[in-house]
Amino acid sequence: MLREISLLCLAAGVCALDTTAAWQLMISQPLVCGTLAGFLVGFPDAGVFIGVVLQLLWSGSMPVGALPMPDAPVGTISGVWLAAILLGSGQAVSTSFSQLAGLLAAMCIALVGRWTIVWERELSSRLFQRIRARFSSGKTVNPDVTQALTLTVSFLRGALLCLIAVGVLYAIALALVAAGNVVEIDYKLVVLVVQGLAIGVLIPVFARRAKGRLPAFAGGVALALVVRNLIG
Amino acid sequence: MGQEMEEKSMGKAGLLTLVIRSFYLQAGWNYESLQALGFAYIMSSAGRRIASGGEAARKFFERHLALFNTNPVLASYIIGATAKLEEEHARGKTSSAEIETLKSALAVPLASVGDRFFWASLRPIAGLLGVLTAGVVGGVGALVLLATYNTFHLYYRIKGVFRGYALGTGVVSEVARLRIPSFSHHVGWIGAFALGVLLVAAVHGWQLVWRREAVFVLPCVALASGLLPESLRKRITEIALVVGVVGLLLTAGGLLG
Repeated sequence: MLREISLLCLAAGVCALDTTAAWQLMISQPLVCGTLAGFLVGFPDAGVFIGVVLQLLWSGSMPVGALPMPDAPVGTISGVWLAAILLGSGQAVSTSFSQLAGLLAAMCIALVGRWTIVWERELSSRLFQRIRARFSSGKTVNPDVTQALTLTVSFLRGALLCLIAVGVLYAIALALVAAGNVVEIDYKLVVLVVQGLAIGVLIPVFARRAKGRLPAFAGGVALALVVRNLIG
Repeated sequence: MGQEMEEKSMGKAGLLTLVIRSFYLQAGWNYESLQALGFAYIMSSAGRRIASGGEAARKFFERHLALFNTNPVLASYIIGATAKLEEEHARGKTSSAEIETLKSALAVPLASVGDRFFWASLRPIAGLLGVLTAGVVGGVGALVLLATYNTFHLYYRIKGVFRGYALGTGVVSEVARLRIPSFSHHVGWIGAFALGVLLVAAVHGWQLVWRREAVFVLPCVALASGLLPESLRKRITEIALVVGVVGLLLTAGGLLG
Protein backbone atom coordinates (compact mmCIF):
# COMPACT_ATOMS: atom_id res chain seq x y z
CA MET A 1 0.00 0.00 0.00
CA LEU A 2 2.78 2.40 0.99
CA ARG A 3 4.65 1.51 -2.21
CA GLU A 4 1.53 2.22 -4.27
CA ILE A 5 0.95 5.59 -2.55
CA SER A 6 4.59 6.58 -3.07
CA LEU A 7 4.56 5.59 -6.75
CA LEU A 8 1.30 7.40 -7.53
CA CYS A 9 2.34 10.57 -5.68
CA LEU A 10 5.66 10.46 -7.52
CA ALA A 11 3.82 10.05 -10.83
CA ALA A 12 1.45 12.93 -9.95
CA GLY A 13 4.40 15.17 -9.09
CA VAL A 14 6.32 14.30 -12.26
CA CYS A 15 3.25 14.76 -14.47
CA ALA A 16 2.45 18.07 -12.75
CA LEU A 17 5.98 19.21 -13.66
CA ASP A 18 5.46 18.17 -17.28
CA THR A 19 2.30 20.28 -17.63
CA THR A 20 4.10 23.62 -17.63
CA ALA A 21 7.23 23.74 -15.52
CA ALA A 22 9.43 21.17 -17.21
CA TRP A 23 9.94 19.09 -20.37
CA GLN A 24 6.41 19.31 -21.83
CA LEU A 25 6.87 15.86 -23.37
CA MET A 26 3.10 15.35 -22.98
CA ILE A 27 3.37 12.69 -20.29
CA SER A 28 0.94 15.02 -18.53
CA GLN A 29 -1.75 14.30 -21.15
CA PRO A 30 -4.67 12.44 -19.54
CA LEU A 31 -4.33 9.44 -21.86
CA VAL A 32 -0.66 8.97 -20.93
CA CYS A 33 -0.85 9.57 -17.19
CA GLY A 34 -4.15 7.68 -16.93
CA THR A 35 -2.61 4.65 -18.62
CA LEU A 36 0.49 4.92 -16.44
CA ALA A 37 -1.56 5.20 -13.24
CA GLY A 38 -3.75 2.27 -14.36
CA PHE A 39 -0.71 0.03 -14.74
CA LEU A 40 0.74 1.21 -11.42
CA VAL A 41 -2.42 0.30 -9.50
CA GLY A 42 -3.06 -2.93 -11.40
CA PHE A 43 -6.23 -1.81 -13.23
CA PRO A 44 -5.03 -0.81 -16.70
CA ASP A 45 -8.51 -0.79 -18.26
CA ALA A 46 -9.79 1.73 -15.72
CA GLY A 47 -6.72 3.89 -16.39
CA VAL A 48 -7.18 3.79 -20.15
CA PHE A 49 -10.92 4.52 -19.93
CA ILE A 50 -10.53 7.54 -17.64
CA GLY A 51 -7.55 8.74 -19.67
CA VAL A 52 -9.42 8.46 -22.97
CA VAL A 53 -12.48 10.39 -21.81
CA LEU A 54 -10.45 13.18 -20.23
CA GLN A 55 -8.10 13.34 -23.22
CA LEU A 56 -11.06 13.96 -25.51
CA LEU A 57 -12.73 16.30 -23.08
CA TRP A 58 -9.73 18.62 -22.75
CA SER A 59 -8.08 18.22 -26.13
CA GLY A 60 -9.42 21.61 -27.19
CA SER A 61 -7.97 23.53 -24.24
CA MET A 62 -4.69 25.25 -24.99
CA PRO A 63 -2.02 26.06 -22.38
CA VAL A 64 -1.40 29.53 -23.79
CA GLY A 65 -0.36 32.56 -21.74
CA ALA A 66 -1.79 33.16 -18.29
CA LEU A 67 -4.92 31.05 -18.81
CA PRO A 68 -5.13 28.54 -15.94
CA MET A 69 -6.11 25.12 -17.32
CA PRO A 70 -7.75 22.30 -15.39
CA ASP A 71 -5.00 20.31 -13.66
CA ALA A 72 -5.51 17.32 -15.96
CA PRO A 73 -2.61 15.05 -14.88
CA VAL A 74 -3.17 15.25 -11.14
CA GLY A 75 -6.92 14.90 -11.66
CA THR A 76 -6.47 11.88 -13.92
CA ILE A 77 -4.03 10.06 -11.64
CA SER A 78 -6.21 10.72 -8.59
CA GLY A 79 -9.30 9.54 -10.47
CA VAL A 80 -7.66 6.30 -11.58
CA TRP A 81 -6.38 5.76 -8.07
CA LEU A 82 -9.86 6.21 -6.61
CA ALA A 83 -11.37 3.83 -9.19
CA ALA A 84 -8.71 1.24 -8.32
CA ILE A 85 -9.36 1.60 -4.59
CA LEU A 86 -13.09 1.06 -5.17
CA LEU A 87 -12.49 -1.89 -7.52
CA GLY A 88 -10.11 -3.54 -5.09
CA SER A 89 -12.03 -2.69 -1.93
CA GLY A 90 -13.98 -5.95 -1.83
CA GLN A 91 -17.25 -3.97 -1.64
CA ALA A 92 -20.13 -4.78 -4.00
CA VAL A 93 -19.06 -2.10 -6.47
CA SER A 94 -19.56 -2.49 -10.20
CA THR A 95 -16.77 -1.71 -12.68
CA SER A 96 -18.91 0.98 -14.30
CA PHE A 97 -19.61 2.66 -10.97
CA SER A 98 -15.92 2.64 -10.00
CA GLN A 99 -14.79 4.04 -13.33
CA LEU A 100 -17.47 6.72 -13.35
CA ALA A 101 -16.67 7.69 -9.77
CA GLY A 102 -13.01 7.92 -10.76
CA LEU A 103 -13.87 10.00 -13.81
CA LEU A 104 -15.98 12.46 -11.85
CA ALA A 105 -13.35 12.67 -9.13
CA ALA A 106 -10.73 13.40 -11.80
CA MET A 107 -12.76 16.30 -13.17
CA CYS A 108 -13.42 17.78 -9.72
CA ILE A 109 -9.77 17.47 -8.67
CA ALA A 110 -8.65 18.99 -11.97
CA LEU A 111 -10.89 22.01 -11.33
CA VAL A 112 -9.54 22.42 -7.79
CA GLY A 113 -6.05 21.91 -9.16
CA ARG A 114 -6.56 24.88 -11.48
CA TRP A 115 -6.59 27.17 -8.44
CA THR A 116 -3.47 25.58 -7.00
CA ILE A 117 -1.76 26.36 -10.32
CA VAL A 118 -2.75 30.02 -9.91
CA TRP A 119 -1.35 29.91 -6.36
CA GLU A 120 1.91 28.40 -7.65
CA ARG A 121 2.25 31.18 -10.23
CA GLU A 122 1.63 33.84 -7.58
CA LEU A 123 4.37 32.25 -5.49
CA SER A 124 6.71 32.47 -8.49
CA SER A 125 5.73 36.14 -8.89
CA ARG A 126 6.77 36.82 -5.28
CA LEU A 127 10.05 34.99 -5.90
CA PHE A 128 10.65 37.12 -8.97
CA GLN A 129 9.98 40.32 -7.00
CA ARG A 130 12.53 39.24 -4.38
CA ILE A 131 15.12 38.56 -7.08
CA ARG A 132 14.54 42.01 -8.60
CA ALA A 133 14.88 43.57 -5.16
CA ARG A 134 18.18 41.77 -4.59
CA PHE A 135 19.48 43.04 -7.92
CA SER A 136 18.41 46.57 -7.08
CA SER A 137 20.44 46.41 -3.88
CA GLY A 138 23.51 45.23 -5.83
CA LYS A 139 23.45 41.60 -4.68
CA THR A 140 23.72 38.55 -6.93
CA VAL A 141 21.37 35.59 -7.27
CA ASN A 142 22.11 32.02 -8.27
CA PRO A 143 19.53 31.15 -10.96
CA ASP A 144 20.05 27.42 -10.42
CA VAL A 145 18.75 27.76 -6.87
CA THR A 146 15.63 29.71 -7.88
CA GLN A 147 14.96 27.17 -10.62
CA ALA A 148 15.30 24.24 -8.23
CA LEU A 149 12.93 26.00 -5.83
CA THR A 150 10.19 26.55 -8.43
CA LEU A 151 10.50 22.97 -9.72
CA THR A 152 10.25 21.60 -6.17
CA VAL A 153 7.11 23.68 -5.49
CA SER A 154 5.55 22.42 -8.73
CA PHE A 155 6.35 18.78 -7.93
CA LEU A 156 5.09 18.99 -4.35
CA ARG A 157 1.89 20.73 -5.45
CA GLY A 158 1.04 17.81 -7.77
CA ALA A 159 2.04 15.06 -5.35
CA LEU A 160 0.30 16.53 -2.29
CA LEU A 161 -2.87 17.49 -4.17
CA CYS A 162 -3.14 13.90 -5.40
CA LEU A 163 -2.60 12.45 -1.92
CA ILE A 164 -5.08 14.77 -0.16
CA ALA A 165 -7.73 14.50 -2.88
CA VAL A 166 -7.72 10.70 -2.94
CA GLY A 167 -7.85 10.54 0.88
CA VAL A 168 -10.91 12.79 1.01
CA LEU A 169 -12.68 11.20 -1.96
CA TYR A 170 -12.09 7.66 -0.75
CA ALA A 171 -13.96 8.46 2.46
CA ILE A 172 -16.83 10.00 0.45
CA ALA A 173 -16.93 7.05 -1.98
CA LEU A 174 -17.06 4.50 0.83
CA ALA A 175 -19.92 6.41 2.44
CA LEU A 176 -21.72 6.50 -0.93
CA VAL A 177 -21.21 2.76 -1.43
CA ALA A 178 -22.53 2.03 2.05
CA ALA A 179 -25.56 4.29 1.60
CA GLY A 180 -26.43 3.33 -1.97
CA ASN A 181 -25.97 -0.46 -1.86
CA VAL A 182 -24.30 -0.26 -5.25
CA VAL A 183 -24.72 -3.36 -7.37
CA GLU A 184 -24.12 -4.26 -11.00
CA ILE A 185 -27.17 -3.36 -13.08
CA ASP A 186 -28.02 -4.00 -16.70
CA TYR A 187 -26.25 -1.14 -18.37
CA LYS A 188 -27.41 -1.86 -21.91
CA LEU A 189 -30.60 0.23 -21.75
CA VAL A 190 -28.75 3.34 -20.59
CA VAL A 191 -26.15 2.84 -23.33
CA LEU A 192 -28.79 2.43 -26.03
CA VAL A 193 -30.80 5.49 -24.95
CA VAL A 194 -27.80 7.79 -24.79
CA GLN A 195 -26.34 6.46 -28.05
CA GLY A 196 -29.67 7.11 -29.73
CA LEU A 197 -29.66 10.65 -28.37
CA ALA A 198 -26.07 11.14 -29.48
CA ILE A 199 -26.82 9.99 -33.02
CA GLY A 200 -30.04 11.99 -33.17
CA VAL A 201 -28.49 15.20 -31.94
CA LEU A 202 -24.98 15.10 -33.35
CA ILE A 203 -25.65 14.24 -36.99
CA PRO A 204 -27.87 17.30 -37.63
CA VAL A 205 -25.28 19.42 -35.84
CA PHE A 206 -22.71 18.01 -38.24
CA ALA A 207 -24.76 18.74 -41.31
CA ARG A 208 -25.42 22.33 -40.27
CA ARG A 209 -22.06 23.39 -38.89
CA ALA A 210 -19.33 21.12 -40.02
CA LYS A 211 -18.94 21.65 -43.80
CA GLY A 212 -15.84 19.59 -44.64
CA ARG A 213 -16.31 17.47 -41.54
CA LEU A 214 -19.41 15.77 -42.90
CA PRO A 215 -17.51 13.86 -45.63
CA ALA A 216 -14.88 12.96 -43.04
CA PHE A 217 -17.58 11.64 -40.74
CA ALA A 218 -19.17 9.69 -43.62
CA GLY A 219 -15.72 8.31 -44.48
CA GLY A 220 -15.27 7.10 -40.93
CA VAL A 221 -18.69 5.42 -40.93
CA ALA A 222 -17.99 3.82 -44.31
CA LEU A 223 -14.58 2.53 -43.25
CA ALA A 224 -15.96 1.09 -40.04
CA LEU A 225 -18.81 -0.63 -41.91
CA VAL A 226 -16.41 -2.11 -44.48
CA VAL A 227 -14.12 -3.41 -41.73
CA ARG A 228 -17.14 -4.78 -39.88
CA ASN A 229 -18.32 -6.70 -42.95
CA LEU A 230 -14.82 -7.99 -43.58
CA ILE A 231 -14.33 -9.30 -40.06
CA GLY A 232 -17.95 -10.28 -39.56
CA MET B 1 44.09 37.00 -27.43
CA GLY B 2 43.32 33.89 -29.47
CA GLN B 3 43.07 31.81 -26.30
CA GLU B 4 40.72 34.39 -24.74
CA MET B 5 38.49 34.25 -27.82
CA GLU B 6 38.37 30.46 -27.57
CA GLU B 7 37.41 30.67 -23.92
CA LYS B 8 34.45 32.91 -24.77
CA SER B 9 32.85 30.45 -27.15
CA MET B 10 29.87 28.22 -26.44
CA GLY B 11 31.17 25.04 -28.06
CA LYS B 12 29.08 21.93 -28.68
CA ALA B 13 28.91 21.01 -24.99
CA GLY B 14 27.64 24.50 -24.21
CA LEU B 15 24.95 24.26 -26.86
CA LEU B 16 23.87 20.85 -25.62
CA THR B 17 23.56 22.32 -22.12
CA LEU B 18 21.31 25.02 -23.61
CA VAL B 19 19.15 22.34 -25.26
CA ILE B 20 18.76 20.46 -21.96
CA ARG B 21 18.05 23.64 -20.01
CA SER B 22 15.52 24.78 -22.62
CA PHE B 23 13.17 22.08 -21.32
CA TYR B 24 12.86 24.14 -18.11
CA LEU B 25 11.94 27.47 -19.71
CA GLN B 26 8.58 27.68 -17.94
CA ALA B 27 9.67 26.49 -14.48
CA GLY B 28 9.34 29.89 -12.86
CA TRP B 29 6.38 31.06 -14.95
CA ASN B 30 4.83 34.04 -13.17
CA TYR B 31 2.47 36.96 -13.76
CA GLU B 32 5.24 39.58 -13.40
CA SER B 33 7.72 38.48 -16.03
CA LEU B 34 6.11 35.37 -17.61
CA GLN B 35 9.01 33.13 -18.78
CA ALA B 36 11.84 35.46 -17.73
CA LEU B 37 13.02 33.42 -14.72
CA GLY B 38 13.36 30.32 -16.90
CA PHE B 39 15.08 32.24 -19.68
CA ALA B 40 17.59 33.71 -17.22
CA TYR B 41 18.25 30.20 -15.89
CA ILE B 42 18.87 28.82 -19.40
CA MET B 43 21.15 31.69 -20.37
CA SER B 44 23.08 31.56 -17.09
CA SER B 45 24.88 28.44 -18.37
CA ALA B 46 25.97 30.48 -21.39
CA GLY B 47 26.86 33.36 -19.07
CA ARG B 48 29.28 31.19 -17.12
CA ARG B 49 31.10 30.34 -20.34
CA ILE B 50 30.96 33.75 -21.99
CA ALA B 51 30.72 36.60 -19.51
CA SER B 52 33.62 37.40 -17.23
CA GLY B 53 32.62 37.42 -13.55
CA GLY B 54 31.55 40.25 -11.25
CA GLU B 55 29.64 43.17 -12.72
CA ALA B 56 29.50 41.67 -16.25
CA ALA B 57 27.90 38.49 -14.94
CA ARG B 58 25.41 40.47 -12.86
CA LYS B 59 24.43 42.60 -15.86
CA PHE B 60 24.18 39.47 -17.99
CA PHE B 61 21.67 37.89 -15.63
CA GLU B 62 19.73 41.11 -15.13
CA ARG B 63 19.43 41.55 -18.93
CA HIS B 64 17.64 38.24 -19.21
CA LEU B 65 15.27 38.88 -16.33
CA ALA B 66 13.25 41.25 -18.54
CA LEU B 67 9.71 40.22 -19.48
CA PHE B 68 9.77 37.35 -21.97
CA ASN B 69 7.07 35.13 -23.42
CA THR B 70 6.92 32.88 -26.46
CA ASN B 71 6.11 29.32 -27.47
CA PRO B 72 8.27 27.07 -25.27
CA VAL B 73 9.32 24.75 -28.11
CA LEU B 74 10.27 27.37 -30.69
CA ALA B 75 11.93 29.45 -27.96
CA SER B 76 14.95 27.31 -28.79
CA TYR B 77 15.65 29.54 -31.84
CA ILE B 78 15.77 32.61 -29.57
CA ILE B 79 17.95 30.78 -27.04
CA GLY B 80 20.50 29.84 -29.69
CA ALA B 81 20.56 33.27 -31.32
CA THR B 82 20.81 35.04 -27.94
CA ALA B 83 23.75 32.85 -26.95
CA LYS B 84 25.49 33.83 -30.19
CA LEU B 85 24.85 37.53 -29.58
CA GLU B 86 26.00 37.27 -25.97
CA GLU B 87 29.20 35.72 -27.26
CA GLU B 88 29.68 38.68 -29.61
CA HIS B 89 28.76 41.09 -26.83
CA ALA B 90 31.49 39.62 -24.65
CA ARG B 91 33.92 40.32 -27.51
CA GLY B 92 32.59 43.87 -27.75
CA LYS B 93 30.97 43.39 -31.16
CA THR B 94 27.32 43.77 -30.13
CA SER B 95 25.50 46.01 -27.70
CA SER B 96 23.14 44.77 -25.02
CA ALA B 97 20.32 46.75 -26.70
CA GLU B 98 20.70 44.57 -29.81
CA ILE B 99 20.30 41.43 -27.74
CA GLU B 100 17.12 42.75 -26.14
CA THR B 101 15.74 43.84 -29.54
CA LEU B 102 16.37 40.41 -31.04
CA LYS B 103 14.60 38.67 -28.16
CA SER B 104 11.50 40.84 -28.35
CA ALA B 105 11.43 40.81 -32.16
CA LEU B 106 11.39 37.02 -32.32
CA ALA B 107 9.17 36.24 -29.34
CA VAL B 108 5.83 37.28 -30.88
CA PRO B 109 6.08 35.58 -34.32
CA LEU B 110 7.45 32.39 -32.81
CA ALA B 111 4.64 32.37 -30.23
CA SER B 112 2.08 32.71 -33.00
CA VAL B 113 3.53 30.01 -35.25
CA GLY B 114 4.39 27.66 -32.37
CA ASP B 115 1.09 27.91 -30.54
CA ARG B 116 -0.90 27.25 -33.71
CA PHE B 117 1.18 24.24 -34.63
CA PHE B 118 2.06 22.61 -31.30
CA TRP B 119 -1.00 23.47 -29.19
CA ALA B 120 -3.83 23.88 -31.70
CA SER B 121 -2.79 21.22 -34.24
CA LEU B 122 -0.24 18.64 -33.18
CA ARG B 123 -1.42 18.05 -29.61
CA PRO B 124 -5.11 17.38 -30.44
CA ILE B 125 -4.18 15.23 -33.45
CA ALA B 126 -1.68 13.20 -31.40
CA GLY B 127 -4.37 12.87 -28.73
CA LEU B 128 -7.00 11.60 -31.18
CA LEU B 129 -4.56 9.12 -32.73
CA GLY B 130 -3.72 7.92 -29.23
CA VAL B 131 -7.39 7.58 -28.32
CA LEU B 132 -8.22 5.60 -31.48
CA THR B 133 -5.28 3.28 -30.85
CA ALA B 134 -6.24 2.92 -27.19
CA GLY B 135 -9.70 1.80 -28.30
CA VAL B 136 -8.22 -1.28 -29.90
CA VAL B 137 -4.98 -2.03 -28.08
CA GLY B 138 -5.36 -0.23 -24.75
CA GLY B 139 -2.13 1.10 -23.29
CA VAL B 140 -0.35 1.38 -26.65
CA GLY B 141 -2.46 4.49 -27.34
CA ALA B 142 -0.38 6.45 -24.83
CA LEU B 143 2.80 5.47 -26.68
CA VAL B 144 1.30 6.55 -30.01
CA LEU B 145 0.44 9.95 -28.52
CA LEU B 146 3.95 10.39 -27.10
CA ALA B 147 5.68 9.27 -30.30
CA THR B 148 3.55 11.48 -32.56
CA TYR B 149 4.00 14.63 -30.51
CA ASN B 150 7.62 14.22 -29.53
CA THR B 151 8.91 13.46 -33.02
CA PHE B 152 8.18 17.09 -33.94
CA HIS B 153 8.71 18.53 -30.48
CA LEU B 154 12.23 17.20 -29.98
CA TYR B 155 13.23 17.96 -33.59
CA TYR B 156 12.40 21.66 -33.24
CA ARG B 157 13.79 21.91 -29.69
CA ILE B 158 17.21 20.62 -30.71
CA LYS B 159 17.36 22.11 -34.19
CA GLY B 160 16.26 25.54 -32.92
CA VAL B 161 19.18 25.99 -30.54
CA PHE B 162 21.80 24.94 -33.11
CA ARG B 163 20.25 26.94 -36.00
CA GLY B 164 19.75 29.99 -33.79
CA TYR B 165 23.36 29.86 -32.67
CA ALA B 166 24.68 29.31 -36.20
CA LEU B 167 22.71 32.23 -37.65
CA GLY B 168 22.77 34.81 -34.82
CA THR B 169 20.76 37.83 -35.95
CA GLY B 170 20.20 36.02 -39.26
CA VAL B 171 17.72 33.81 -37.44
CA VAL B 172 15.13 36.57 -37.96
CA SER B 173 14.95 35.83 -41.70
CA GLU B 174 15.05 32.08 -40.96
CA VAL B 175 12.01 32.50 -38.71
CA ALA B 176 10.26 34.56 -41.40
CA ARG B 177 10.78 31.67 -43.84
CA LEU B 178 9.84 29.04 -41.30
CA ARG B 179 7.21 26.85 -42.95
CA ILE B 180 5.73 25.00 -40.04
CA PRO B 181 2.38 23.68 -41.18
CA SER B 182 -0.75 24.32 -39.15
CA PHE B 183 -3.34 21.57 -39.15
CA SER B 184 -5.73 23.35 -36.83
CA HIS B 185 -8.60 23.24 -39.33
CA HIS B 186 -7.94 19.54 -40.02
CA VAL B 187 -8.39 18.66 -36.36
CA GLY B 188 -12.16 18.85 -36.76
CA TRP B 189 -12.03 16.53 -39.77
CA ILE B 190 -9.96 13.95 -37.94
CA GLY B 191 -12.33 14.18 -34.97
CA ALA B 192 -15.32 13.74 -37.27
CA PHE B 193 -13.68 10.70 -38.90
CA ALA B 194 -12.98 9.20 -35.48
CA LEU B 195 -16.57 9.86 -34.42
CA GLY B 196 -17.87 8.00 -37.49
CA VAL B 197 -15.68 4.97 -36.75
CA LEU B 198 -16.58 4.91 -33.07
CA LEU B 199 -20.27 5.38 -33.71
CA VAL B 200 -20.45 2.26 -35.89
CA ALA B 201 -18.20 0.39 -33.46
CA ALA B 202 -20.41 1.30 -30.52
CA VAL B 203 -23.71 0.52 -32.25
CA HIS B 204 -22.45 -2.88 -33.37
CA GLY B 205 -20.88 -3.65 -30.01
CA TRP B 206 -17.31 -4.21 -31.17
CA GLN B 207 -14.87 -5.45 -28.61
CA LEU B 208 -13.44 -2.05 -27.93
CA VAL B 209 -11.65 -1.52 -24.65
CA TRP B 210 -14.33 0.95 -23.58
CA ARG B 211 -17.23 -0.74 -25.41
CA ARG B 212 -19.77 -0.20 -22.65
CA GLU B 213 -18.50 3.23 -21.77
CA ALA B 214 -18.75 4.40 -25.40
CA VAL B 215 -21.80 6.27 -24.20
CA PHE B 216 -19.44 8.80 -22.63
CA VAL B 217 -16.66 8.54 -25.16
CA LEU B 218 -18.81 9.41 -28.21
CA PRO B 219 -20.09 12.80 -27.00
CA CYS B 220 -16.55 13.60 -25.90
CA VAL B 221 -15.19 12.87 -29.39
CA ALA B 222 -17.91 15.10 -30.83
CA LEU B 223 -16.91 17.89 -28.47
CA ALA B 224 -13.22 17.40 -29.16
CA SER B 225 -13.78 17.69 -32.89
CA GLY B 226 -15.39 21.08 -32.37
CA LEU B 227 -18.92 20.20 -33.37
CA LEU B 228 -20.75 21.93 -30.58
CA PRO B 229 -21.15 25.70 -30.23
CA GLU B 230 -18.27 27.59 -28.59
CA SER B 231 -20.53 28.67 -25.71
CA LEU B 232 -21.05 25.02 -24.73
CA ARG B 233 -17.40 24.07 -25.18
CA LYS B 234 -16.33 26.73 -22.68
CA ARG B 235 -18.31 24.95 -19.97
CA ILE B 236 -17.32 21.46 -21.09
CA THR B 237 -15.98 20.22 -17.74
CA GLU B 238 -19.05 21.39 -15.85
CA ILE B 239 -21.41 19.82 -18.44
CA ALA B 240 -19.44 16.57 -18.33
CA LEU B 241 -19.69 16.57 -14.53
CA VAL B 242 -23.49 16.85 -14.68
CA VAL B 243 -23.69 14.04 -17.29
CA GLY B 244 -21.35 11.94 -15.18
CA VAL B 245 -23.38 12.43 -11.99
CA VAL B 246 -26.54 11.34 -13.83
CA GLY B 247 -24.69 8.29 -15.17
CA LEU B 248 -23.34 7.49 -11.71
CA LEU B 249 -26.82 7.64 -10.21
CA LEU B 250 -28.18 5.41 -12.97
CA THR B 251 -25.33 2.97 -12.46
CA ALA B 252 -25.87 2.71 -8.74
CA GLY B 253 -28.66 0.13 -8.64
CA GLY B 254 -29.51 0.83 -5.03
CA LEU B 255 -30.28 4.44 -5.76
CA LEU B 256 -32.65 3.42 -8.54
CA GLY B 257 -34.61 1.53 -5.96
